[in-house]
Amino acid sequence: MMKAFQDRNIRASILLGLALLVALVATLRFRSQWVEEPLYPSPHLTEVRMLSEYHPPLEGTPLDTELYFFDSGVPGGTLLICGGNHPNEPAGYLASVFFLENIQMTEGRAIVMPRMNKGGFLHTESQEAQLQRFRIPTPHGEREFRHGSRVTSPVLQWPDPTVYVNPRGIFWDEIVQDHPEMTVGNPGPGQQTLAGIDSRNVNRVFPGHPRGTITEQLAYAIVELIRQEEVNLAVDYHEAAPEYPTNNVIVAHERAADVATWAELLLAGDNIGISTDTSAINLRGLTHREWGDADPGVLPVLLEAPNVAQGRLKGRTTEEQIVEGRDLAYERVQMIQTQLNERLAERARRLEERGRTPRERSRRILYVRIPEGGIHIDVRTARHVQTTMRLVESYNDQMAGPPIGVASIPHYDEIVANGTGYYLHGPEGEPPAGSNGEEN
Amino acid sequence: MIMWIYVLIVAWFLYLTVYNLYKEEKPIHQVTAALVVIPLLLRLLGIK
Repeated sequence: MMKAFQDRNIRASILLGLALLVALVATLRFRSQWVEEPLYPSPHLTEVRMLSEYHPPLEGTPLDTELYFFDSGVPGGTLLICGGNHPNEPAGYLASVFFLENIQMTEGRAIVMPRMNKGGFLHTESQEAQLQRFRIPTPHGEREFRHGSRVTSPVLQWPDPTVYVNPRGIFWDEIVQDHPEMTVGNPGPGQQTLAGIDSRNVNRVFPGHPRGTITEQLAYAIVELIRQEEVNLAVDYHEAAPEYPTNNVIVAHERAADVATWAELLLAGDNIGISTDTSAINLRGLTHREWGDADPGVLPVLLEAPNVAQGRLKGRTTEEQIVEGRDLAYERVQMIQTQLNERLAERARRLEERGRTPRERSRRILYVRIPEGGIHIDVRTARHVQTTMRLVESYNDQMAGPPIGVASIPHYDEIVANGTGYYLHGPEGEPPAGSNGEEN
Repeated sequence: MIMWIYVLIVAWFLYLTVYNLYKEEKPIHQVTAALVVIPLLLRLLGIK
């Protein structure tokens, strides 16, 4: 045996065999993420369509995604609920699944798109050692959900450019020719440049382009869906690292700012602290910006909740970190943040005593307070669900468009108390009745 | 088109790596070449 190993060719063949074995094991592991977990729509589902109906070249590609229609049969507005824009933001995905499996419309209709970028569900974040899945306990047993990446898999779109320019910057003349309304109140093509990897981030490539990259075509199809289905209110779910300033926030297109601000006040009544940011006009390619600019009839908003698993300061990724939102490194950072602010406040007090004006009283490392025990995925999901319900209520209160009626959605407190899994379906039967009977 | 050019480049590097795996004299160099085969193969087959 040892003698055989001394032969260069035999040694090379053994090593090649081992390499092929490792590649085979890795292949089985990576390919397991291409298997979609089952979702169980609410019994009030009226129709399932594919996104490729709005842009046929997407048909048969891994990015073609399901659209679940819930039509009340009563005339009214159209609500679009989107999860999975960034598949590494699990509460965003789970909130859309929550609506998919529980929604009942009483006026108008809802379209639920739980896996906006299916190309992001096929792999994990590169070099981040992220988990492929997380589990949620339900009365029907544990359900697994994929934990993907914020960008389309490089297997589907490669190579990345060195610098990415949004399609508005390249195809502006063509876009304006097809949709002259996009010039109203708009700063023009813009010269925004982004990192090359953002060419695969669907939330940087809107309004997309019919002959662009596969991610740009996905974005184009979504914009066409909004235009053709005359969507009135569109909600896009996300999560963010605790050190990211846009957190616990509704980011609203300027036309949706009134609806969002009133929803913020309604949420204060639920003891949910949230703020409203108006979408920056020069930050191109995002849902809250481009959907509103592409279709003057839609009020688009984007919701953010805090997730330690996405942060730069986190420790080793574990399932508990994703589900319980708990991380020892972040708890330590929170401790440093508290001590830092105490010292700055003390220094400011001493300076004021001497008649001088302090330069700063606090300094932010984290934009969200991390409580002991973390921010559980149930809390993050419930925030998205309750915010959506209050946005619908606000939209109706302000008569921002044809009325939208949503029933059968539990309140934030109930979701947090019972857990998200309590309201999810299983293959064997219905979920427990969780409706508070309240209509919005 | 650009995707096909990319696939050809990866295939070429894979060929060179396997060629070196058999040509290298020192075992440590052969191990290195064998390790490089894994990502190139996964990329070529569109796995990851």
